[in-house]
Amino acid sequence: MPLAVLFSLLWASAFDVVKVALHAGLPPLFLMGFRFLVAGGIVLGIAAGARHRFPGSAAEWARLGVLGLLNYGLYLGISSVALGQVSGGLGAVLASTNPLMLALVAPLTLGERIGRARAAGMAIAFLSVVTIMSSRLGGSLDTPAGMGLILLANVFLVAGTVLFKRWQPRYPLTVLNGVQLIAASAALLLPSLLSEPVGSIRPSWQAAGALSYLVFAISLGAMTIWFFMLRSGDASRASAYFFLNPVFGLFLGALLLSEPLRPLDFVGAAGVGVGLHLVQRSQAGWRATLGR
Amino acid sequence: MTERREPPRLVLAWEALPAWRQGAIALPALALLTFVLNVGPFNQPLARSLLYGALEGGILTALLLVATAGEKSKRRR
Repeated sequence: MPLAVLFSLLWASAFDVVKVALHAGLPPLFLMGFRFLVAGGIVLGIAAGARHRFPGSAAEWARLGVLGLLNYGLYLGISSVALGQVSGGLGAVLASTNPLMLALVAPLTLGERIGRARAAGMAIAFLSVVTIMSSRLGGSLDTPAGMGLILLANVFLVAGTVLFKRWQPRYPLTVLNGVQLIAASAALLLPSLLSEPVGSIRPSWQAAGALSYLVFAISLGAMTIWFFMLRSGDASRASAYFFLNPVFGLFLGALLLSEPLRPLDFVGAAGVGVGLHLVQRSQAGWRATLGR
Repeated sequence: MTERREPPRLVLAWEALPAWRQGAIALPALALLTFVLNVGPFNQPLARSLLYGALEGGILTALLLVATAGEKSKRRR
């Protein structure tokens, strides 16, 4: 549970930091591709130094490559492009459809049962996110293309999550994360070279700071926690923590940027808490799943 | 020995409906409910409330259908 909350806190902060990096002059595909390259290089260096087990066959490398493409390349690559086309509020609401999409496909693809309590928890959490974001929806920023892109990005993350659970790659988390990061960087840096002129990259201290945070806190920290959670329990239960992201985003905005909070925000945050509690207590607990 | 409680008759009747009929009943109701939420308390413009109502109502309907199938299969086991 504390790990899951830390994951949500880090993940929520990533949206603002990506926006800072984009405003600081880093084009979206370059930002993501370069970030994955640096993070992947670091974590694979650690894995090689510690003599962690690497994939032994081409098929195993390919599987991790596909996971990297889905979980990092397509999901975050498309999201970074879409971030410029939707408001922060709608972006958060659309991003929180991820656990719902997963809940809809998990019974068919993973054999996970979504019962009354889990479905009710997800519905309450989703409506609470909508409540929180209701005053932040709309504006001239929201375009149908941007909305469609965020939903498409979610589809790729759901596909990556399902394949991760089905294939169950049994490598150390360093190798698991590192190979995925390098595969995703290759997939994003090529289109970046073709579509984003090198002259559009404007290095600055602000961009370097944002990039460092994304490399260490998000790609190495949050994503390692995410793969650990995914490996340890039901996919639909792990992904339910995505509902916390807009809540943390809101409170981080108030804390760091002095953005105003409304009474309805607290009602929504409490609703997310109730929904998450229902999702987590449905069926056997987290520990029982660990022992499966 | 604990006796397994049967769910209310209304729930059993709902579960007995084919999925398409459950969707046909739930979608308009949930879309209307979320539309009213958006246009009322959330203070969204009419056109946007229609769009959000359809989107959110669709999501909730899909969740309801999956949960219904899950509960039904649990009881069958």
